[in-house]
Amino acid sequence: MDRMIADSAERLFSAYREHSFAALPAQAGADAAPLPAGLWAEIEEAGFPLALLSEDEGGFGLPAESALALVRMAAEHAVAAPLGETMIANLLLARAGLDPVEGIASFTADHALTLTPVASGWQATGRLHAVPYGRMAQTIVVRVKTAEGAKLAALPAGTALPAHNLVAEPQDTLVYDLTLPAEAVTDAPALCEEMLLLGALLRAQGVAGALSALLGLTVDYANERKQFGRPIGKFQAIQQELAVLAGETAAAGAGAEMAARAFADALAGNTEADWRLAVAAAKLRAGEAAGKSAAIAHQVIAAIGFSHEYPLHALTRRLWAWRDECGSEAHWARWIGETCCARGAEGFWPLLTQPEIRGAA
Amino acid sequence: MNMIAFPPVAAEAVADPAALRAEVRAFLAAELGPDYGPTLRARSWSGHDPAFSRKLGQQGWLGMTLPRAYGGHERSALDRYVVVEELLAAGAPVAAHWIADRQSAPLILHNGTEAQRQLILPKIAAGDCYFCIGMSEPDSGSDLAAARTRAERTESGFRINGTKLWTTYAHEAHYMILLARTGPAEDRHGGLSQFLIDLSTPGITISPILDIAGDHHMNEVSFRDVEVPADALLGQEGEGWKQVMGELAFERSGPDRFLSSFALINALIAQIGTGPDRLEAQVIGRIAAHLMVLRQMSISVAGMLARGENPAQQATIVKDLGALLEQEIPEIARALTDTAPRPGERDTFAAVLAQTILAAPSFSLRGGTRQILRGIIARGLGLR
Repeated sequence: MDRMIADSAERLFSAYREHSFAALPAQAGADAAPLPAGLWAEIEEAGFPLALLSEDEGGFGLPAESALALVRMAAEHAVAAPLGETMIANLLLARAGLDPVEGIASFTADHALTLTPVASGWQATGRLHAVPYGRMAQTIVVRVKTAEGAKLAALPAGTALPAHNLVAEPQDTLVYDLTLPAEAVTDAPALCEEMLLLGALLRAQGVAGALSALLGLTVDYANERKQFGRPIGKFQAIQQELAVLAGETAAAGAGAEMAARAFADALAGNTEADWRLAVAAAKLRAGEAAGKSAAIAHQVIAAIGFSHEYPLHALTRRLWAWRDECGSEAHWARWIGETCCARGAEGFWPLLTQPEIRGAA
Repeated sequence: MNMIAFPPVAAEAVADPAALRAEVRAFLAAELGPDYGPTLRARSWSGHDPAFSRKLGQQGWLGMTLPRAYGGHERSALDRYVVVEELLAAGAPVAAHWIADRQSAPLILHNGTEAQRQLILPKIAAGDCYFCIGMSEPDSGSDLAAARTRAERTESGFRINGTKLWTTYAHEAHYMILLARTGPAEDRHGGLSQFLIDLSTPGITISPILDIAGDHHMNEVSFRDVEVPADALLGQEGEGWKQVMGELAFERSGPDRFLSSFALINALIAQIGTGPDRLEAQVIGRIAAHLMVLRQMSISVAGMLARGENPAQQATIVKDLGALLEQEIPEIARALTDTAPRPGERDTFAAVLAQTILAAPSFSLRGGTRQILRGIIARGLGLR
């Protein structure tokens, strides 16, 4: 089952690699890139937007680790698509007892939206900030505090004030002033409190995937590009740099998998460990790896890598964008540090070893 | 790229790590006691205490993965991992048995004769038998294959001449696993073999080399017409290079490669207190994240070793990243505290800082220099 899904995902994403690159506008400041035609239809046909749901919830019972590996794989092929966002939005809906949705969905922790009960449901007024793929989303999941407690709201498309990140992915402000039907609002499940971490979980997977592609691209370049009569990869100075790149890529990958496992364990309810710590650590580590690695890749690939025609920037711009989304390194370092210090020196090691060693699912 | 993949451990390899962990913590709390303070802990894995090692042996926490027939306990590599990381985090005095348990025992198990296994392994598991590593020489450090120590065939065995250098705790060890040349120098890799050397053999001289803190861990070990029996050969003649490479995977990937400065981290957190300011929280959080990820990578390597795979590349990556972090810790501590290091004090932050600063240069040298490790990684990437 797992293998089949991975294989079909590999086929799907690799087919869209070039399209995603071609869709990047020439000007970084211009506008967001459109999704390559046909991509989302194929993603839906494969069932990937439901990959985090249990069979009871309408999914296909994939372990969460494998579902998140799809997000990593898409990033590895530099395929821009709101797959992770839709997966998480559907998961949140399912946890709230709502049905998964058709089409693109997204979520955000960052908003100034109020919900007020009215006769026919809820009046939703205000703004959502930096919603990934907000303009394309048919459903946006948010957690809103109301006088009746924290609610999950499944919002329809809002009025988009377009904005985008460094790699032309939409990060829109969505403006609302509408009445939601009663069934679009429910008590918020606990998972909703961690929207920022859920975003961080996705970005950690994305960075890990993009880094693995970056390593491949840079090593291939170093093996092909000749200067002084030999491939530049034969020079020790280059080799030492690429070894650092490999180490950072490995660490980001291991961190992303650690986060995915911790999240899977938490979803399955078979651990006391705090998955949030693993996700925050993974995001932080991935962000650090992203910065170091992008710098090395640009140094090794040099001038051609700085040109728009060469595909390096499709990867490095993602890394620079994603490391700052859903909490930068500084944000998560501070959060983890406060958690650690609160327990004192004696509690530090027990906290680090709290995700107990466990075998693969 | 497979060489940078760190797959999760196999499900069947893990029994009940939490219970074992609790048991080890309780043992360490009782055994080390309240007076075992930060300066003792900061010795990391260089604290040498044979009595402590024997107690670990009695607990069944040495030679854990060895077959019962050789005094082992047939526990999983992950069980061993739990014990090892708890010992390191507590800064327990593990140096006496460390090398024997970490790499000599698996090497002898895989490559030794039945007689060698019977002779050595039960003693390692009991905490009675200590090893040192005979790899580096005066003219071959990073260039290990340039080893010149020679073992010549005699009627009864081998005659050994040469010098080994930087040999940690040779002066306290019973045996050395020696890498020596048995073939021509031109055959760089094929001409090497490993030997199991009883360090009480006549002709061996062990001389101390003090480190920059003035401590005696390292030695020069010279061999002058040392006669060893034929059965001192460990593994196949001419297979020494291959065997050493396997040994290094055990040597490079463990939690000893990223926890060397752990006592200083603890001291730093104690110094900061439970209400860190913004910068302090960020610094501690970053260290914690790095440690968590390194630990996952190291556990993954333990799992690969247990499955009989060869994670040499992954082990090298763990060691390179681990040493970077270990060496960064004293610099980070300085940036936060404005405390001058004071060697010789007992259990003060300044003393722990002093110890760690003076130990740190070795972190990216022992077990292979940073440059060598990165060369190995580059080879794995297909660049050489």
